[in-house]
Amino acid sequence: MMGRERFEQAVEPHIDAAYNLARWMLGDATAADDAVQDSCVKALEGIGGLRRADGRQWLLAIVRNVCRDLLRGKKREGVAFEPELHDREALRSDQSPDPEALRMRLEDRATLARALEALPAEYREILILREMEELSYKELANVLDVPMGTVMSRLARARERMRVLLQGGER
Amino acid sequence: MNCGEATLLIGAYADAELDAARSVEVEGHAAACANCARELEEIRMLRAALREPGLYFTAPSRLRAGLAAKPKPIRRVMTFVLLAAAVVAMIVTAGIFAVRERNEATVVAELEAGHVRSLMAEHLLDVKSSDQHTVKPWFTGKLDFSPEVVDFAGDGFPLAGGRLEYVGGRAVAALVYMRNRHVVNVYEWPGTGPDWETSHDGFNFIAWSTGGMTYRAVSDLNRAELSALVRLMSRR
Repeated sequence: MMGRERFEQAVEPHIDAAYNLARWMLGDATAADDAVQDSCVKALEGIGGLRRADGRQWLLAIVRNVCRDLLRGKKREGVAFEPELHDREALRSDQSPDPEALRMRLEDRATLARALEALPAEYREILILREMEELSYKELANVLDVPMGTVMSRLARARERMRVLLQGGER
Repeated sequence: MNCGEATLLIGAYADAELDAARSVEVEGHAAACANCARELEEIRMLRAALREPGLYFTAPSRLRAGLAAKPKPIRRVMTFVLLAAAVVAMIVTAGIFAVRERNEATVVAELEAGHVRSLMAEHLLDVKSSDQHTVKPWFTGKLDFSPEVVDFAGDGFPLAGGRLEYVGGRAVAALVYMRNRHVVNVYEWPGTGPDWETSHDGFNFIAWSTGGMTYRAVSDLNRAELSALVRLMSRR
């Protein structure tokens, strides 16, 4: 099969998923545009060697790597930085006194978006892929190139961090 | 199940990644524990909030248009066509092997995932018994075949139990054997296929077929000992 056809079948249906991921990871429409263009060129170049039967996982993995490289570059320039990640971080912090407060913050889209943007990249990408794209653990393991156990623990920490951010700040 | 265990599994439960037996345990615990019930509720609230369409960025039409126009196939005709014809023949042959290899790679990944999952959740035994006469009937009605189940305690591989797994898109029997502190998962379903052995991520895999059934053994056990179990199983 020609690369172009394969591209149209396997990759193009997932452009929205690619753009949504890039847009949330980079926080900027122009940068997301460029990242998706770049990813599609990479996808097309590699199309002959398409390893994964699933075009969506494959494209998301490329987008994710492109975004990660861009974010790393930014970090070096000091434009943006992220809190260091600690694997030993507790899985569960103290329960908040008021679950209703959390519900209200979740319903306020601007607050929710700010919390998601404030999340470290590693946590943001796994939450987007899990909750917005509904990838299974196995698909997440493929896209993020980590073992299943890491998927489980990273997701747990991402959710916990999100809860803390929504409740008004770092511990 | 206590809170410590539940905390580890609640996310996987909310994500529908646990097997039936573990799901029931988590549900049972959450029904009795306000903290864990709340944690589950919070995961679901966060999910519902993140799935609001207003948060999803769809690709702008200019991006789509740009992509449709951009990557062009090569159109340098005659030499290309001649070359292509020769290459196609090679690719077709290679492709057949590549497809087989990819299927096998997928299966290895699935087997490994199943094995790792069974270790993470402390066994994931749907039926916990060293008695082959308990384990075998347990599978009846859950599978469309009757698996061979034999205990090899006398040979140093006691049967610990079994569970259902999905491999290559079908329900298969997973038998769990112990060897000292090591866990061996043996997947079994009707069929035949080539024998093979491989290692991946520190796990050993052995595939074989006998008596109309095909088997895959997965373990961190060394290859010699795993082969010993395979020999016992293929002898019957």
